Amino acid sequence: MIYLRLLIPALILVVMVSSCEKDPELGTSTFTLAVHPVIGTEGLILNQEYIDQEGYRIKPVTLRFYIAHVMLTSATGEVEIKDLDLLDMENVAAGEPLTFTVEAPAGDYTGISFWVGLDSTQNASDPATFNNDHPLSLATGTFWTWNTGYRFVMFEGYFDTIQNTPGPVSSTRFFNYHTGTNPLYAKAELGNASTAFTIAEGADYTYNLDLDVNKMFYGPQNIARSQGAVTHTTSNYELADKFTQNFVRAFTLSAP
Amino acid sequence: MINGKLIIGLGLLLALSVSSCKPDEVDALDRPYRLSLPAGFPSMNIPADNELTEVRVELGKMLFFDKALSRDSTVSCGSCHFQLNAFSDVVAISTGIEGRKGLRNSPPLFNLGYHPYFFFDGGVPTLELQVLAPVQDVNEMDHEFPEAVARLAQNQVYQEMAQIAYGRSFDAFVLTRAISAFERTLVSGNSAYDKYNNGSSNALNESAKRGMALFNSERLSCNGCHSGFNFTDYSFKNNGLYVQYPDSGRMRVTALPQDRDKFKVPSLRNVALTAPYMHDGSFATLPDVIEHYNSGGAANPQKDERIQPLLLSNQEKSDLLEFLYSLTDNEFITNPNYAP
Repeated sequence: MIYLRLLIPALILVVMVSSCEKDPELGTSTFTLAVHPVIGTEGLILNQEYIDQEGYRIKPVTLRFYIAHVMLTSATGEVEIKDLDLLDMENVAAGEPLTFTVEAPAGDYTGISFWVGLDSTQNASDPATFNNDHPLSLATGTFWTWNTGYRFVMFEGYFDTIQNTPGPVSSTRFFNYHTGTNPLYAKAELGNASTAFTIAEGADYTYNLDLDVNKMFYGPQNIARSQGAVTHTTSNYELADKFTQNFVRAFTLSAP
Repeated sequence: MINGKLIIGLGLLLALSVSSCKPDEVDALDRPYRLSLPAGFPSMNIPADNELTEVRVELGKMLFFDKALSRDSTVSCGSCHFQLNAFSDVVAISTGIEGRKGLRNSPPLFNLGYHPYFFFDGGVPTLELQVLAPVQDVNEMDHEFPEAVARLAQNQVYQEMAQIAYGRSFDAFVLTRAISAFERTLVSGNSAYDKYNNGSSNALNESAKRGMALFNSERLSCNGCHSGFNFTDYSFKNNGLYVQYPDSGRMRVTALPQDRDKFKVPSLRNVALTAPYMHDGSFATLPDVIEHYNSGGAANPQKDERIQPLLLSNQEKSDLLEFLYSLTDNEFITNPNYAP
């Protein structure tokens, strides 16, 4: 009898506990976007010197950028998997990709799209309202305090202005591309039917992209070294605009 | 405003109890700040997340005068904004840490709660965001904001006041809100001109009255830009200071060619106290300023069409000057509530 007295409450408890557990999300997978900074075929490591495709020495020291509204594209439309993240090479070990991981719906996809920067609402945020671990907080160092809004891309370092010069790169040749302002919120679109991929339910999937420094300078816009090494966007809007056009096209699917 | 020492004592006494309070209970320890607006002033729009309370304002005042805000703890907000000068500086360009010089003349601080944007180029839209700029500016305090917050957060009094005022630990939110709260209380509207406007016909002498008439005349059109209760329409104008400006003004933040060499129209309240003048402090005295406008200014293509030679007589210059002197609010610059 005593067993029965114990058994009934135990059964009730089991039923209650099991009903409290959240059912696992059906039809989802763990999706990782991995961005590999490169310069040509070489992996990029901050504070190391490289020679770009045109023979200029370059030593990047900072590469940090926002991506917003990351979408998986399929034959039937798009699904947003991430509203905002800050990818910062200072936050990963040398040689490691810039990543974020989310739950994404399983399915067949043809590609991915995202915006480099922040949408106008995100860009109007007050950074003091966020905790330091938030991508929009003051701790990221991306907020422009003298002007409203955030720096969308911060690419800094040193480069030579004469091709094929012997190293090391001059420490006085500082370059500083800080892009921002709502008009320079730009979209990157990758993949097509020939690069379709499937995210299987319950499986981990990693989508690999390269981000090529060569393409930041030699893309649809050719950024000559003589055009200026510094832009805080409003200080040289033309240069910031060119850099933005190149930057969103500097992403490519990584070779399998 | 309640006494600062009283607040500190209150905070210390309640430290333990505060840590266990719920937010509503914490709020009960603070009281709304009674902002007294001069007659004729419109109501002030205050952000919902930063309604004025006594502890918020007191905390903001303490932070305003705290040199720990700067990287080497040598410069506070009050180092470049002196109450006796209507919270402006007495030099053309203020000195930041390590003797560094900034870009523009330090503006006076009053009636800030009415401004739609801040700085001579209008680049910052709120008073709360404005707090970030001088702290991080390399030529002012040169302090990464998170580092400044971390340093100030070690101050137990600040921590306790933050809990009372905002129901949270001291952080960037508290720092920006509290200083803004204090700055919103810097209200100036009790000059001789205001007294005259409110019915004291003897508050202005005859010269000042003539100067006021000139100021508002179609011929001078000073009130075309220096309009309203705060003597500014907050627009961006080129007043013909130079043919070529070394500082691009509003274009610096918009990148728009039509904004080149334009600067926010400043208030003229307390103007007799805020020398030197212009965005770069290039005029030492008010008579210099009047001479500039009398000359019609330099031939800059962006110059406002109203800036034309005025052909002022000496008497008219004197009258204008007298009117500008009448905009001084002595009560504001001696109000002990604003002192450290």
